[in-house]
Amino acid sequence: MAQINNILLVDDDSMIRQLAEMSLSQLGGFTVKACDSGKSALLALQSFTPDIVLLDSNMPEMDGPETLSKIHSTTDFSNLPAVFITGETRPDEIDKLKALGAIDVIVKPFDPMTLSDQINAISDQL
Amino acid sequence: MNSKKTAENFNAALQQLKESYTARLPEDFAKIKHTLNELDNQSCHQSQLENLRQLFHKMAGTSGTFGLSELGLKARAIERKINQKIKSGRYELSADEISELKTDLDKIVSVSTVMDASASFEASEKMMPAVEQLGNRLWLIEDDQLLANELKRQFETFGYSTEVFHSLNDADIAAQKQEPDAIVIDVMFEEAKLNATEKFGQSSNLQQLKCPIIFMSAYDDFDSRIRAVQLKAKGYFLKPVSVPAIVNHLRRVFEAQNLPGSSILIVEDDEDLAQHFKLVLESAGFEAKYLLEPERIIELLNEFNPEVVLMDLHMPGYSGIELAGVIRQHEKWMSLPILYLSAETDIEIQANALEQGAEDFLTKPINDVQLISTVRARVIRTRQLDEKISRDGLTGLLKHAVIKEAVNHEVTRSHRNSKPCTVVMLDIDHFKAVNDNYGHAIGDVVISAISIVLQQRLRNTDIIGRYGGEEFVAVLPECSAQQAYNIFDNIRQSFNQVEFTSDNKKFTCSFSAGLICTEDFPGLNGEEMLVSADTSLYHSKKNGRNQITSASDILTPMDRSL
Repeated sequence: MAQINNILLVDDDSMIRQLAEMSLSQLGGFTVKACDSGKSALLALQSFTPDIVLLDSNMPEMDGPETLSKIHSTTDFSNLPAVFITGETRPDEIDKLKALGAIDVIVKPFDPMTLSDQINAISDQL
Repeated sequence: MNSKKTAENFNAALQQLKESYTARLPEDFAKIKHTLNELDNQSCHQSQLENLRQLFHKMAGTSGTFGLSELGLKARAIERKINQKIKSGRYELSADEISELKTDLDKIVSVSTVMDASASFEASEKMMPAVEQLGNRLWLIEDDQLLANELKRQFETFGYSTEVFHSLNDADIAAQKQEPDAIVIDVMFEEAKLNATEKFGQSSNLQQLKCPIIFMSAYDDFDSRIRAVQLKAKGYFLKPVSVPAIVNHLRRVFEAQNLPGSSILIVEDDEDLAQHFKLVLESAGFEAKYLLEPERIIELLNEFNPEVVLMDLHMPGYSGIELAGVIRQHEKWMSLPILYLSAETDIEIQANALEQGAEDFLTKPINDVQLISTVRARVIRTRQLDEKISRDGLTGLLKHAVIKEAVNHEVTRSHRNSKPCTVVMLDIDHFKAVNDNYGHAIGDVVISAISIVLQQRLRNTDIIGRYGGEEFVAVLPECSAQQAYNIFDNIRQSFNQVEFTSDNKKFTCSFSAGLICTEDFPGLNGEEMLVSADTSLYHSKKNGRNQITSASDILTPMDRSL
């Protein structure tokens, strides 16, 4: 079990970003850095050291899987635990995302009231 | 900041965010519309279709997360449709397909415009199919055309508009776009080399529907039954099935989902929180009131007559446990369910409260969904208990003593407010022969069938009871003798149409009735009205059965002043 304090959140939808950030910081007490694209997430990593990254799987330009592989190819974050947030509901699509090196997948719609609990549950697996 | 305040602030912020999201929706719709219009003007490319899919995909995930579940589901259904198109590898859309997508879009736009952003977070639950009024749209999946027609005819006599599908595949396609109120599937056929049960298990659209699903099967073994439960079937009936038995079962399933008129009292000193709970419960169809001053608890109980009390465990001045003690001192409220709202994690305090008669705890911060489901479960259990006491086990109608009391009550009320009230007594014809020829189990089916027809045709304000073995009484407030006659004659005709099955033998039944209205016999009390209704019923029987007699046609003016 690892302690999670800092979360890097990447989602291109500003509403989801605000909601998840609010839920994770206010209800979960986490420190959250929110980014609107894979590119800005990679930039953010220069000044922010997350314990976990939450990635929207479906983003324009650089999608979630691509962002993750770029993050994992940096020396400092080659083992950064990642969780995909996805609108996919089909089990095979979810398995595919897990196979890309994410430790878990959170399916949209998610419940903002329990999102932090989900992250805490995931941290128990680390 | 304590956890209560955190939850409140969070809820407020959440609400605000939801409002901004709903405000943004028109913009999102415009984007989709624009993309659709582009499809119109040129031959379609994979990238455009992919773009469109993305837009619906986003909308599905985001709106659902903001509690707009119906919009979420609709957007998801369209996304799936486009996805199938992309997967098929044929990217051109015909003019028809494009206009279909436009219609789909218009539909979800109209869904979103009826949403009230200022309502509580779970307000969208109001629009979920599960809590709609008792439904009457039925899908029947049956490969045997003859049987399908026969079942359809019978379901329709019970007021179900029935759509027949001859394959699971057809039903699965239809399920992409619409949802019925209930589905009945014959699982005794093969489709695409699978037995129907397994084929159903793979029908992803059908699987996602929320409506109750009933299996009809010839297998009575444990494996088949457990498979049905695993596939979330809400009922399992052996073939040849009795349609009245299925209808009766469906009625119970709907009732459990839909709890009209249940009222909840919230005792909570924090007004914002109380207001929030009230909104959440109202959004789920409950009637809710809150009380800020605990001293008025008994007064409010008597006034509001709640089915469940939600009580804050800690309030200034009194503890929730003390208040529960006061409630329990009143015999009338001895068994009123009390759910405590508490931030306590202290097991001892909770154990103490349980000893004082608390039913359950909800620990703050309370998730809206959890609040609704806990309250709903409690109301269902309380009603089930009440029903056991006052209602007939077979029909769910009021028992003899209770309906008699209701007749007295309504007749008195009718005298007081000078509005007519009609009492009807009815009896199934030759019921003894049914029992003798087909057995008591079939006799029970006939009894539940008439009770269902009565419940479906009469108004919510009418009161129906099982008066004796095959004898029923209905009280119709604000209804004249002529109106009641028309209603019951109509019911009589449709009951004649209901076909019963026993060992592959088919038969039908009829009933006779007698009715009397306070308007025509103002001097009679409840008891006397029942006697006269019975006399009129006897007249119908003597005159050849399967008919209705109004007391005013056979009783003399002298009887009227009885």
